[in-house]
Amino acid sequence: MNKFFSYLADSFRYIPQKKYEFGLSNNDTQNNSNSNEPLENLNQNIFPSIDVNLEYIKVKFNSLMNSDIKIREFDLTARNKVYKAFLVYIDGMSDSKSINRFILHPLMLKSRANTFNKNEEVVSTAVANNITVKKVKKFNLVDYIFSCLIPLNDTKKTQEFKDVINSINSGECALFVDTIDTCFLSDVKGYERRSIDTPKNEVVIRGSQESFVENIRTNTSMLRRMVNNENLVIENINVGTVSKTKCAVCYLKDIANNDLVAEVKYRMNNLDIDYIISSGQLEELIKENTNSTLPETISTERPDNASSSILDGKVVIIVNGSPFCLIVPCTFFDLLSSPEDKNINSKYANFLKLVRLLACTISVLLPGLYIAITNFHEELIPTELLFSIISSRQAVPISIELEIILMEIAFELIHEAGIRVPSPIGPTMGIVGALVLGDAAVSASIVSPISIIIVAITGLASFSAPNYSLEFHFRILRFIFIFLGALFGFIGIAIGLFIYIALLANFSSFGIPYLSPYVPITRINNDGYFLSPIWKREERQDVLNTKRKNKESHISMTWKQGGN
Amino acid sequence: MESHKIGFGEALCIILIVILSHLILILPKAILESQGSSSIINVFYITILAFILIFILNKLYKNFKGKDIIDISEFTFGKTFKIILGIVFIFYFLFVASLLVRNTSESLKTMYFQNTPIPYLVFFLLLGAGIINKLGTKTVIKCNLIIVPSIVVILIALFIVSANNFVPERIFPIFGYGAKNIFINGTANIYAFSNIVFLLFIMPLLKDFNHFNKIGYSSIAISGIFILLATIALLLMFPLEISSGSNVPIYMQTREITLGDFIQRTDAFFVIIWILTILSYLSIILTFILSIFKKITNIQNKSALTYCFLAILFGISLLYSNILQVRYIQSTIYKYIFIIFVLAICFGILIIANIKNVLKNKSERINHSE
Repeated sequence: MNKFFSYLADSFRYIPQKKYEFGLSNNDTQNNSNSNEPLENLNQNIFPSIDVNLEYIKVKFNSLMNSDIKIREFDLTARNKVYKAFLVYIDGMSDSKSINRFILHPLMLKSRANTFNKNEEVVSTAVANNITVKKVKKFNLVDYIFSCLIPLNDTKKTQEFKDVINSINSGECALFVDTIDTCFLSDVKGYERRSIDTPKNEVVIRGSQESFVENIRTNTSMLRRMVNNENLVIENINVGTVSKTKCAVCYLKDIANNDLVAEVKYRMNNLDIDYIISSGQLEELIKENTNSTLPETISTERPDNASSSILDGKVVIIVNGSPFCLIVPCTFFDLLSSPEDKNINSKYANFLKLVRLLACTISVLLPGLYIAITNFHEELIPTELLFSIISSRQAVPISIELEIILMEIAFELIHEAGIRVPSPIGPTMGIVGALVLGDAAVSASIVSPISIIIVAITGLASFSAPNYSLEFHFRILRFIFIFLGALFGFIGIAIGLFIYIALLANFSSFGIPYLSPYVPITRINNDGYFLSPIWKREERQDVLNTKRKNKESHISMTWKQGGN
Repeated sequence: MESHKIGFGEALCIILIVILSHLILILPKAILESQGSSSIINVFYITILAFILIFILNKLYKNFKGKDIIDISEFTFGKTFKIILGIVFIFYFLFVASLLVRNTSESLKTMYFQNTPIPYLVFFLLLGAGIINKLGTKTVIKCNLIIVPSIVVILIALFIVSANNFVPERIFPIFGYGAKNIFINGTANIYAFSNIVFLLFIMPLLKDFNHFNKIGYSSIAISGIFILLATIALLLMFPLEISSGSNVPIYMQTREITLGDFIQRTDAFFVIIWILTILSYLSIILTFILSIFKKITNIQNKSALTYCFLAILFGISLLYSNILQVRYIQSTIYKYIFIIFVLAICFGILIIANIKNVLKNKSERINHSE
């Protein structure tokens, strides 16, 4: 009740507009001034004493409780001198073989490298009173270990515990040596990961059959391979004060709009949250219109889709641990496009796009229209059909509105159950739910056959939405139109459509109008919802304001003109 | 509103929605009522007159790029006159919108909601327009940009589909009630192009002021074509007695259309288009009312007043006693109000403003040479 009154009050009183403006501000508000204090102060430098370092690491990693934290103490030999040292790594995240072979073996075993006692390098010599004074170069243990004793390609030095802890958490191995305040971090990641598989949710016939996996580096490598250009920038941003989840912002620096890239990084850098574990969570966090069910990003598991978006001037965000990446910005028409569209002849693609558009319209409006027609506009249907509908409903004890709503809910139940149950039972669930229950419900005169047909067609049409989030949006919208159709018939649907169109027109994704390139009118560049042949798609989308406008020359098929 | 600039397409759609909404409700019927079988000739005649008006308007606006009629009135007669003219225009728009809302509500009541009280129907129509207006001018214009092309396509399709039912003989006698009726009395039908009023306000919104000419001529040309098509359809489909007495002429047309055996009457689908048109028109008119109010009062946030003006509009819409009164006002009184407004006051202001501008330039030149 209070909510209702506050809504009424909000509607009539003056509220200063607080609309989020696209763009970066350079003031201090960018820093998380209101954020919680960091859980722990990690801005501590490494101590020269190995005992203190050891104690610090043990406390930080709770080594007495954590069974997978491995600390290996040993004696290190360098130029015939022995130093105390220890290694820290997480069992299961690091490759033990690499640690043994490339770290412990060269450091512990007496070999030529670590027993070699080179003569001290004389920098200058001075003779005074028959006494020769030689100035020798001081032996640097850090440099010596780094350049002579660790034969690993990816090793770095650090003097801060913050880096040490982050690296260990991500599977690296840390080496502490007595007397020096530097730690060596070696990349020996070796955890189990899923190999590249075929896409499960965005199946195409003619496109690539690779999909993203959970590992961020595997995903970035796939993008590198496909984009194959030195201007591809993959910037790492850690999100989550606790989880510090690695995210990668990928774009082509000579194509993507600087403001767009800056906006993406700005939003990601200004998230005050403990953890994120999937791209879905990040999608919600970087969304501008949080109340809307419309997606502002395209979620894809296909590296080819992500690569082509990068090449078109968009930005791709990869989240470590999630096999889906996010493409920003997106328009309503991007969401209605399938990755297959660009792999096939534009005429076939346009036919499919038309079917999809029709299917989405059916998915949203059909049940509402059916209710409106049967309740308010019976004159629209032929008399015989009307009689048939009436006779089929004679024994049905509930009204049409309730019947459709119940059927829709039943359909949603089947849908949800089909996803949640183990995969071998899934198809059975669909058959039992749809065929057996539907047939039984009609036989028992609980619902009419025409309602089954309407709900089945709607359900079928809703699966044609290529984007999962958009499909959800349509499912919710369908109930709203059912409600409007039941209340006011076509007039209610028209008012609903009008408000929906206005909301779509008002919506934007990372500063890009949601209905572009059609509303507001911008140059379509032969790259609107319906595709022109690939040789005509000369320019990138106008709304993206890319640095490089053209993606192909005026005559791309130069072979027709006798070659270059 | 001032912060959002629009291109040619957006501006054209704003002008067209006005004509389309009137076209659906009353225009062809009003023309047929006064002109009979000579309506087609009269439509050609008033279209030519509208072109002449636009030509004059362009000439008069030549020295006032980026200014609307309110700014020009301030330049000509000062701030007080600007406020008076602003208030007069607000009431003019409220009056026009109230007629349309009431007519629509009454027609809906007759067709589908016999038991629903008129205030409910008026309320729902205004609520739809109000919600959109709260989203801002930019959204209203974008929304209109989607709706107008769809309506245009549907109306053309409607004309083509209903061509089967045309009886060409109904065009005769081609001169109807005589030349005097077509060219003298029929001049008042120029009010069919009442969308010209919006041209007086659109200038400050334009991205490129040079598009003003193009928008004027294009909108008149397209409006003329649609008035002609609607008039032809109504004239040729029904006997004159029926067509001139019809409630919603295009609705009547759709009732005659059957698509095979499955869809026997398409009039119900037409209701969707009709409501979309009316809502879009109401949103646009409300946007203009708010922007005029902002201009004369310098308020910071005009959207806060959306519901206030909707409440006034709601009240005015309920002032009319019945549908017959609404239709009488729409087809007779409204045309004279439009003629007084656009032809007399606005063109008068523009002419005086141009004279003042010339005199001002002359005196500046003399001062400069001295």
